Amino acid sequence: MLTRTFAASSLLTLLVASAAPDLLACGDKSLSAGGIRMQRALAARYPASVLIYNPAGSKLQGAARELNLLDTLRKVGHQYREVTTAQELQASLASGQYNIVLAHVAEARDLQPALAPSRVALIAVAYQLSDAEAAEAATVWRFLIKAPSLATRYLTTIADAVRSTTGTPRKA
Amino acid sequence: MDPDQLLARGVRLGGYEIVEPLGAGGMGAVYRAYDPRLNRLVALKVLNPGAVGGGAPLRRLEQEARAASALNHPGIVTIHDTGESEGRFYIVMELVEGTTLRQFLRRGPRPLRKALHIATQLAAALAKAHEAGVVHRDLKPENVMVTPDEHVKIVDFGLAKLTDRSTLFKSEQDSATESGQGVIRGTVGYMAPEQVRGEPADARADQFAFGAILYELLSGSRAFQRSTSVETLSMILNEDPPEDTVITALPPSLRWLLNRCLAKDARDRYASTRDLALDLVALRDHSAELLRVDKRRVVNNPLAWATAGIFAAALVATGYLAARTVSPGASAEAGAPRFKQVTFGRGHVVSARFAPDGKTILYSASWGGAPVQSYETRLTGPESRPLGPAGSSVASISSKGELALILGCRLDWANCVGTLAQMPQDGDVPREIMEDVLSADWSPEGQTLAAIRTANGLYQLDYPPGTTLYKTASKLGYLRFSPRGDRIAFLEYEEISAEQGVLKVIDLQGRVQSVGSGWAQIRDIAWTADGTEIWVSAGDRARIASIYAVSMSGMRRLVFDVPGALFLQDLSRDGRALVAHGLARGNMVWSNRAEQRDLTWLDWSTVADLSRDGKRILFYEWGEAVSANPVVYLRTLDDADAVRLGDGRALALSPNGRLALALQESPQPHLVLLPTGAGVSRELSAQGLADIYWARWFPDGERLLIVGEDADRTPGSYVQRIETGALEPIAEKGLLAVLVAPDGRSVLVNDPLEGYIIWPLDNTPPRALQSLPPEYRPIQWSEDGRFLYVRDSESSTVQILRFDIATGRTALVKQLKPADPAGVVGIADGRGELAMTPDGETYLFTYWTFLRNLYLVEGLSP
Repeated sequence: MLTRTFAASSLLTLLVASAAPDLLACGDKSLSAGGIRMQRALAARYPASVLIYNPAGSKLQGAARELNLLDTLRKVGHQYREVTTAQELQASLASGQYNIVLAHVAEARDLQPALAPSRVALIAVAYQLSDAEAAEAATVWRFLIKAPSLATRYLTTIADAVRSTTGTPRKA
Repeated sequence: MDPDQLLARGVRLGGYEIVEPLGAGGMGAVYRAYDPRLNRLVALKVLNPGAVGGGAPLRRLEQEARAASALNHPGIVTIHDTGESEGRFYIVMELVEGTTLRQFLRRGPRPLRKALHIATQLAAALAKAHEAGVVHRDLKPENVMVTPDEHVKIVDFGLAKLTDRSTLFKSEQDSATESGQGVIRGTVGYMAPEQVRGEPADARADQFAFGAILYELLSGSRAFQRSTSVETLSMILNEDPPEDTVITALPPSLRWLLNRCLAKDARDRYASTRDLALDLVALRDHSAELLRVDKRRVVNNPLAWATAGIFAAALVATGYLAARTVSPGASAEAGAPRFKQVTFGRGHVVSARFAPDGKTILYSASWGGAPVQSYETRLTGPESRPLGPAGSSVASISSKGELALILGCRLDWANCVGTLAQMPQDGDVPREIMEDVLSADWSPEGQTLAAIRTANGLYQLDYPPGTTLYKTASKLGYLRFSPRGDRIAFLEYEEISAEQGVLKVIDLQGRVQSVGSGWAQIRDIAWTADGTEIWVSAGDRARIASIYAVSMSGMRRLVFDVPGALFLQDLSRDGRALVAHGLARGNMVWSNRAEQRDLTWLDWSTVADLSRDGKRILFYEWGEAVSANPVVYLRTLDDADAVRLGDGRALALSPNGRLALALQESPQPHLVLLPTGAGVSRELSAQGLADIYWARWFPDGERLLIVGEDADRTPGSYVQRIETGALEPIAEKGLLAVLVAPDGRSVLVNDPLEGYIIWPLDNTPPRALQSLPPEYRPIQWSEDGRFLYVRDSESSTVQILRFDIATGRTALVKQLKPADPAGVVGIADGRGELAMTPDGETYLFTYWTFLRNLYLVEGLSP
């Protein structure tokens, strides 16, 4: 876990460093592996098929807007589908096509038991929480996205979650 | 030429079929001809027997013609072929439909805008040729073609240099003479004085001819013309062109440029034709403003004319705002902006503000590579005194004299990020307010600060401290209060790494309005005293910035422009401006155990690769010298000129050094092989790749490692066989290969989460290099395959480490740094930009400098 955390934080450092404002004005942006290119590589290496659970009244909608989530997922090459009911969610999970479920913290807790035995990772989204709720969420959830946050940051969380479902892909 | 000597229609010459004569002169005749092999029409120049010597001179002429042809510029006629048939030497050229500039000029003087349109094209083509070491030496309107859509193309490039007979270049109406000492080459009326004297002529002779042509374009009459050739030659040596009313009414900056081209002493002309071309582009792009400014301010005012002329001359001449000497004796009433240099250090000014008294200036700068320091200076003298602690930068000063400083300034290009603090102007102990601040400003009454800072990876605008008015994942910067304090202007960038941004205004209730965008880069903000306009530094091209004014309704106007980049720092209530003028450069340094050499070629030299012996250097230029269009060069360690290989970003030299691999972006990203010696370039099919990130050679020289995106925009690594073009994916999607093993049997790939993996190409299991930190950037594989040379990208200096693949141990082998730290803002930041030989002995790196000083500007119109 420590290694993973280090790797993820290193990647984040790399992404942020690669995207440092103006520095790349002097260097070669085209050949840099930073920014969208690295994010696409990350998504290609750890491809996510995301079920976005957005029931009526959920704060996830606002979070997704703050994160520019759908546009970002599409740009980097992840697949996604939005579902609004528990039944729809179950049916989609049964298809076996999805490896990630994204839900607001308030709904995620209810989903956890149903997902536990599957090879689907649950990512909780923290948005509009009190300080206490935010602190609790940080301790409860292995994969947590805070909204708003930088795309580089939550895409790394998604990749990390994908890796947890399959292990690192390796050449046969 | 006797018409009877012209070749008849249908006559074949070396595989080309004469269609009709296009013109004839002392050197021979030009025909429209048909090339049946390629089914195209060409221009065939047939030289008179004896116009050029046989044997070696002929071969040299052929070589020179080919060299000129290789210039590959839209403003230079392409030479397809040369040959000799039945004792006639001929040159096969691109057929240009249109007229000669001579015929074009017969229509009379051209309007300023149109004349500059022609002249800028001509200058750009000349600059391109001169950078490649090719000089025309007989530039004249007869040697310039103008197409129906008024594009110009220069013909006969390079022919004058190696021909032995001046007659080759005599036209019907002009004749050259020979002196007893040296042979005169060129056409009377356009020859430079040194040519008239029979002295060696270089690119500056072409500048003189260009000046004569420009004079003629603008005035409609020749700059140098007398009744006989001898008198004309005497005029060139001893007299200025006639005082033409059109010329004297030109904007002073254009007159000055003209005078500089026509200087009698070549040393007084441009050192670089590229500078001439750039100045001309600036004048063309702002010709309307120039004329407007001149009419408004200086009509019927000889002193103003003189002032403006000298001022513009200084700008164009040096690229600096050396304006304290610009208008000696001129008064403020003259109307032209006046500049006074405020700082004189080697490094860059980070920020500057007027103190409330209007006479004191507070600024921060990094001089000589030292950390940023704040200073106070007065306009009465050049001395400055340090202000506040070391590492602090001036963000703002209140109307009550309270300073806002950014402490612990971390320089990001030339901007500071650090801890916001406040301190009395005469104090010495700042009080910290908040961290990670990029920009701050006092409200007009001087009570409260607004600030832009980062928190949790986001950018936010806080006012008052503790209250966030605006938050976004996009980068924010450059915040300034309106004079009434009811609004705050700031910049929001579309991407964190982008320089394109939107000028926004937010009121104190958090309502945001976009008022300006569309520039390639934008930075720096200041409100005019009446609050009706916001001035910004902005430009349509990276690295070039001018000052624009933007109204609340989004209307924009150019306030001021000079060659180079202007950075607005502050506006005073009485309309004076503090402006930093910058000069950015990409520098290239070669280093081995014994020595370090600066091998910078033009203004934006960027390292690509080193030959195995460390003596040949592949690089590219992509700065103003090449109009930001990347060009591949090869140079050696001696003083020889760099050789231009072709367009694109250089990537790598082939193992045998005979080919350079380059990336061309247009129309779609693709690779191209450029010969480093004789040969022709070859484009490689991208085989469906939508984007190419980088590429390297395999050791066999027959395959390429390519990293890019497929049609689905999925990044991956590929091997392309050069002979067949076949492209095969290697490794798995999302794994980006960075190096090829010296035996060519495996590659080093990067897993975005897991780090580096040695990935065999023969289906044996991959090997993760777990002890190689992901933030290290591999540069080279050692010759014996045992080590990887890597760069620690988290270090502020360039540290080269040797990583032992077997043991996982690393050892520091080299530290690289520029000899002169002044103005250094980055060292080998991007991929490439740092190369080394496999034996770890020789290194090559790029570093970036940014030098800018501060000026006080008076007379800019609010």
